[in-house]
Amino acid sequence: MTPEKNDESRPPSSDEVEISVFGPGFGECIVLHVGENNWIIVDSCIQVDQKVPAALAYLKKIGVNPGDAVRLVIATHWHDDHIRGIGKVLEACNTAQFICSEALNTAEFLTLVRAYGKRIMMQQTTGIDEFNHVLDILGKRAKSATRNDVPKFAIADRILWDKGNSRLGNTSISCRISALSPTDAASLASKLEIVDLLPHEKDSKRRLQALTPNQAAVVLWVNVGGVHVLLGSDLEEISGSNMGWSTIVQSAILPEQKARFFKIPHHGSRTAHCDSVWSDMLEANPIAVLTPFRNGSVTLPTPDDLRRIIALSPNTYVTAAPTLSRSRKRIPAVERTIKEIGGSIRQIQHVMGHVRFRIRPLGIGKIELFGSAAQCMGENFRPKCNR
Amino acid sequence: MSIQTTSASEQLWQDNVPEKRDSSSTETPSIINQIGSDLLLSHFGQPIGRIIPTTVETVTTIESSVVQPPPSPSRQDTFISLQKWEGTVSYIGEESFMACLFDLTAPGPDEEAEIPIKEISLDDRELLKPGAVFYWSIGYQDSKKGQRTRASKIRFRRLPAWRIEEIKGAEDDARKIGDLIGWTRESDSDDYLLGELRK
Repeated sequence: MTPEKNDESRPPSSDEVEISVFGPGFGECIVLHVGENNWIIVDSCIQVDQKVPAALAYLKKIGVNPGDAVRLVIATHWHDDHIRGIGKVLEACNTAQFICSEALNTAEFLTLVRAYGKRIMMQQTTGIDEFNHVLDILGKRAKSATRNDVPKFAIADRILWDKGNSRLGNTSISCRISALSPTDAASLASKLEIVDLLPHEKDSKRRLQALTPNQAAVVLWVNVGGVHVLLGSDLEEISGSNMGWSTIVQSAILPEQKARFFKIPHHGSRTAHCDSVWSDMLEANPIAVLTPFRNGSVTLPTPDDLRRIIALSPNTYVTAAPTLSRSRKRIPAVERTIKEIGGSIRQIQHVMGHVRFRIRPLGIGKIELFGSAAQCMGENFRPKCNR
Repeated sequence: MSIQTTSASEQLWQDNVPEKRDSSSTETPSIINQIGSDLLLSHFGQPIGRIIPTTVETVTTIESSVVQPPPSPSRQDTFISLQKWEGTVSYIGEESFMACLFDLTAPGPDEEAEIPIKEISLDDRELLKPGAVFYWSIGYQDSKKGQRTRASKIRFRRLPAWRIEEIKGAEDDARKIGDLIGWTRESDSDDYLLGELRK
């Protein structure tokens, strides 16, 4: 599919389905338009230059009021790269319901958030800080007693939202969003791991590290008027464990339809690859979108990851090149010292990329690329055509 | 007075100036005043980590060949910070570790660093764990004898231990917010419409 030139600020028409994936190099966010100005936000990342969540910046750009139009704010898991700014998102989307993984539906998780989230002991934010902000917002809404803001918890095979039939243009269509994960086993395993993270008296304090592997992430299946979308979050493949991708594919109630759009899980990592997802859940040559990840020693996707994914679909897009980084200029004495000790510093590139797919029911759809987004061609990236 | 470059082995006299900033560095944000100065004075008052032996960059000296005054007994080593970061350890390898950095001198985009483990003092090695918070400072170390060396100092933050009151407080707070927003309610079985997915 050839990307088109277009204007990012043009809103979709009422009968257009949109899947927008944002990724600045660390983090990702997905914004869905499911028709008639109903919007869904999945995860959050920050638009660094503006210091605002990418989803809010985008909705503002296309003239959508998040307070009126966003129905759901979904946090697929609590890793930093999927949750930055989600508190601000929920605050702005004041009629939206908050959804997160059933794995977090425990008193222990709340204790963890309250214990770690209220201590200001470092400059860098964490996913726990964001969840703490979410709890405060939900608490404030509950106290106002104007509406029911009970969060909803996602678990495999649960329908999260069903808009029912409505008219989009000349067609009557429905919209349904379902969770395909976490499984009961994954949810239980994560709940037990959360218990292990709880602080104990006399333990030294330190920054909380996220759980790995990520078995409790929420995978979503979206059906809008026959346009099927699989959003893979960061779920990894953990074979033979009643959790992970194989378990989803083997589910007795796997959707019979195949998805045309696939948000590739876990930044294209091999640990999240499952052949049967491509053969059993996706159309041939689906539109596959991934967001890069760079943190510590980990850079995703790797060249091998890209080769594997492109072989599965030539319609593969990435929101940003994964290896871009450059050192920040500092005064010579500092530069020399870093070099002399054998250290190195790289700036994590946060050039926001945006892959947008718009389609009318029964239409063929179109891909648009903005910012640093590009189509993957071999191990390289095809220059985007919007800039 | 004049400025001259000299070797570290020469005995020079220099005014003892407490924490001061190089003119080429940027303005210290207020948060540094709050956090950084305390940390630097308390943690970096003594040499920590590796001090790099190097030729003195620029040293203020007395012009003429007068006899240098002996060091004042009250004079102490001073550290002139050029650059400070707060770091969080993300990965530990065999010889180096990776960390996410937050620039305390001139806040900007996130950075990541690879730092040799040998830069960590033996006292701090036990604190090198994923999630550990440290402060990294690069600057000039001026000795009481007037010698100046460039220095890289890494000091791991020794956070206080959890107190039982904090844990109980978090549990109480969690219970209250959970009750208020219905976080820990039992899942509503009506929502589990398994067969509906096939429709």
